[in-house]
Amino acid sequence: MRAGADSRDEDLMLAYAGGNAAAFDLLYARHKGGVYRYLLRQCRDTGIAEQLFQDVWMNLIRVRATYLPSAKFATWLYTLAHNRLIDHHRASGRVTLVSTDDGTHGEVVTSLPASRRNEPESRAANRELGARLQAAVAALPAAQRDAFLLQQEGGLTLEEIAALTGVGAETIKSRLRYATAKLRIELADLRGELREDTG
Amino acid sequence: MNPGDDHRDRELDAAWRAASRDEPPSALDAAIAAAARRAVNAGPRPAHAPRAWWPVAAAAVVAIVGIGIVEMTPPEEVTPTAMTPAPAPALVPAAAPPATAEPSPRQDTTGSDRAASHETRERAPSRSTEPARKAVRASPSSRAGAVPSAPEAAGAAAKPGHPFPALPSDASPGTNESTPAALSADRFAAAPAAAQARQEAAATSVGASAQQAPAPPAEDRRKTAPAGAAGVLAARSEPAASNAPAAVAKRAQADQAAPADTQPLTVDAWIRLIRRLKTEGKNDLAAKELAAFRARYQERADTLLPADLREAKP
Repeated sequence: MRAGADSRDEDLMLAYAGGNAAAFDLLYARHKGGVYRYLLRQCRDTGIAEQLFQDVWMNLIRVRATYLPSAKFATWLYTLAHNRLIDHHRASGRVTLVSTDDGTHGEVVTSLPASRRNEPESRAANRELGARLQAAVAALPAAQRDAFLLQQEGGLTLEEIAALTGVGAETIKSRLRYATAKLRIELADLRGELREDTG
Repeated sequence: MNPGDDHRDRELDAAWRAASRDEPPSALDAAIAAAARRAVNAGPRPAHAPRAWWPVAAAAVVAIVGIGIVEMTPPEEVTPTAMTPAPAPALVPAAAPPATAEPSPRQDTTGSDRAASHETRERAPSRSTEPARKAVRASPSSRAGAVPSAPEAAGAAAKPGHPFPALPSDASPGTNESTPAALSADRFAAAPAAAQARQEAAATSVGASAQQAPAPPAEDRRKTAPAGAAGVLAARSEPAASNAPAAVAKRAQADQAAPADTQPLTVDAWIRLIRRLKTEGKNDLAAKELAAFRARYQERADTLLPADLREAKP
């Protein structure tokens, strides 16, 4: 199968499963950053993130023959990453992807670091937009962070995230709403900087 | 943006894209790309690798099938001489004289062993040669010498005039009574003895009672009782059936018929026999019978004979 830069992910994956190594290079170039960041933001450790990242892609290489283009390739790829992350959390004894779907859930999840909004040192250190935003995302509950990262890094829709995580689309919608609201609050004082950066 | 993405904040999304630009290290990229290429390049190999083993596997299968066929082949087809049970022909020389028109190459022991070994090597260069040679050497009959194996004997029997007929394979070794020659010899030896015993018994019975007719002489009884001898000859001509139930029954019938034929004739029967011989014109036989009658009864012969035979002198 011919693999080009304009080919769909699904076609590239089928081409790679058929023995076309160039198709894998294209797929990898498209998705390596998103998968890496998804893992890095979830585990917050570069070494662990790199190990998990390699495991995800090696797993894809190993099971390439079983790929069926019934779903979007990105959904399949992030499912591999999501499952590998859960395995890592289970192995490390940390359960972070707790469900906090109802509106009465606590703001603080014990497995997550506390918000550093009130820490003068952190505020000074996170002056840069990127650092503040990353810290805000890291402060999110795990389920909300997971949904947020899947949406931002993987480009998945609500339905795709719901299918990947095994919960309802409304639950995912709720998680994303809570996550967005919290990030806006966390970054309220930087809204002007955000507009300048994005504008 | 999807219809369900109304909650998304464009400013937040843009800020996130600007802030999150981490990429995996290039070394990791290279490692993963190399692994992907290795997997693709190594992928077809497992499909072709088994083909390299096909000739070896085919040769192994052929070898196994060949060995199986050799194992399943009846051994006598491979080495007809070697696998013959040795004790069976041991009875032949005991019963039959070794006189033969064909000189046997196995008349001496060492020569027969050597010949057997050579023959076995020529006929069957297989692994069964050595057991066959051992079987030949272990056989006491082969040590005794002058014993052809059963297939050889069978082949010799097929030749006209060969002195060794093919023997049944189930002949019990070492029992001379079951061999036809021994059986016939025993019967020939036993026949006169039985006649002698019968004669003595008849003499005592005649001596005890004058009403009973005396038994004729043994020589005469042998003449008048050819059925017993015929039965013996018949048994001799049927060596293979000597142990069969039919042969045993036939032998019993012959034994029963023999006493009846050799029963001493009564005076009346003897006189009727003499008259019948005279009537048939067999005057010589009639004279012999009359002489025998007179020899048997001596002084009483004239009183016992009728008038027409009384005047007839032998």
